[in-house]
Amino acid sequence: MTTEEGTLFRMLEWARRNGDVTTLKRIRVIVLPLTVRERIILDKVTPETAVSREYLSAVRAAIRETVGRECPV
Amino acid sequence: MTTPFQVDVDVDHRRCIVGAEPLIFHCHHYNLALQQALIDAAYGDFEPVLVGAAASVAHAQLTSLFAQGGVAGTAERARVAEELYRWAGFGTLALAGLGPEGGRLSTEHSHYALGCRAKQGVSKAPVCFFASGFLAGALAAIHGLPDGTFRVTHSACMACDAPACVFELTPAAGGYELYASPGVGALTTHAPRPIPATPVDYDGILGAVSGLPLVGDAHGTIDAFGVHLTRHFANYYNRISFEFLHRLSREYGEEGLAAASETLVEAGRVCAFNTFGGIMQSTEWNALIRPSLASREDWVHGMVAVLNAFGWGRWQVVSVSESDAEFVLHDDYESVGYRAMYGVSERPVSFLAQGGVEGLMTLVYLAGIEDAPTLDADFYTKVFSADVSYQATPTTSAAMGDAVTGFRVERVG
Repeated sequence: MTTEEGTLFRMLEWARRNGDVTTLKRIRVIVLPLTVRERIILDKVTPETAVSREYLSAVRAAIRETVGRECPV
Repeated sequence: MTTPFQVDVDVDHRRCIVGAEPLIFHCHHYNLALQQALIDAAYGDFEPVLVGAAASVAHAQLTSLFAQGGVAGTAERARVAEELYRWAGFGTLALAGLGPEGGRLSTEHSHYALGCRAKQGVSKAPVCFFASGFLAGALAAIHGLPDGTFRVTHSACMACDAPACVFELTPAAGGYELYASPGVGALTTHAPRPIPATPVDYDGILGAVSGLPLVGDAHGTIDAFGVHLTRHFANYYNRISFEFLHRLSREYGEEGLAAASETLVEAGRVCAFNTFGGIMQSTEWNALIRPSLASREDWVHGMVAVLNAFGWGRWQVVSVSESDAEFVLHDDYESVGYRAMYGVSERPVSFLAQGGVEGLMTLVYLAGIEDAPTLDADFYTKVFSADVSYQATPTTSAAMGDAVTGFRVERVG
């Protein structure tokens, strides 16, 4: 089941703005198995990219871990 | 104070060797960043790699030292291990309470816990994987037992706000991976390149930095250049880095390879920013080196002269300007270690060096290091996420069979 387009993109943008320069690289490692399963490339996500709810949940947890705050998106 | 072990310096190859293990300088920022990469990849079960890599180097080194010095008694062996650990900046260990049946040890001085608190604050989970492995490997070596004899549990950690780090050892196999340390590895006969015109006194700086008393204090801490330094095991860094690289690329293909490579290069940038940056703001730099620097290019030469004393191999500047630079590394520790552990590589593996040269150029040409900025996390993010950056591309790789490892660094944006 896929979510609406743009959610992942907006979450990563929020993480980029609110984390540090290492945040997106850490998230990439943390969610790597699920990224491969989704058949996407995390640093090429666009506003049109749609992914599963499970994947969004994993990215949300990774953002919480690396940024130290809940992502509001 | 003399050490109860021999420290050999191989100036020709830019190596420091203790008990047949090459030791290199790295700071807590790099140590924590590299370890965090493996912890982040929780699906890879890397804790047994972190502990096992430490156990293997400690066991190999101490076994060699005990044979080298004819150290036969367990009490004397324990003293050598304690002193080595403290001297190298890892903290302190009191091994007297441990025997062939294992035991319990606590310490209030542990490099990884101290570094974690300084860098990241309170941790949710224990962080002293290296200390755990060192203890397991050391105890086995002290009693003449094989590596892997002791299982270790890190039951409390100061990084988690515990009053002390606690380790419990039991005579049971398993719990971490066993590796054979390759020792120094195969080194080459260096053919140094001509050094571009610079007033920097390479040999004088190498001699001066090599003579600095960079050894652990009574708490096993080396506080220098604004960081906590360690004289760490090249074979530890190499093992955990390359196991991380191999597993991610094997399990997750190109995306895994890219994620691992990017993370390892980032750890190199972190190292450069904090350690190189700290050195270039230090009283030693200002007294010994800065007076001879006439240009920003000289700052690059000066820092490269210093890091030839780190044990990382012979680093050379082939050319340098604000727009680009070329660096050549003879016997860089990553390539030498890779070939000794895994054979010829299919790709360049000098990730620390790649991040290091990018970080050095960034510090000198973008971060205004000569104006002594505050080197904190916010400034790191500011300079490394700017529109203008320096990107290094490997041109040759000793791990792939080339004579040297080379990088071309270009300013982009």
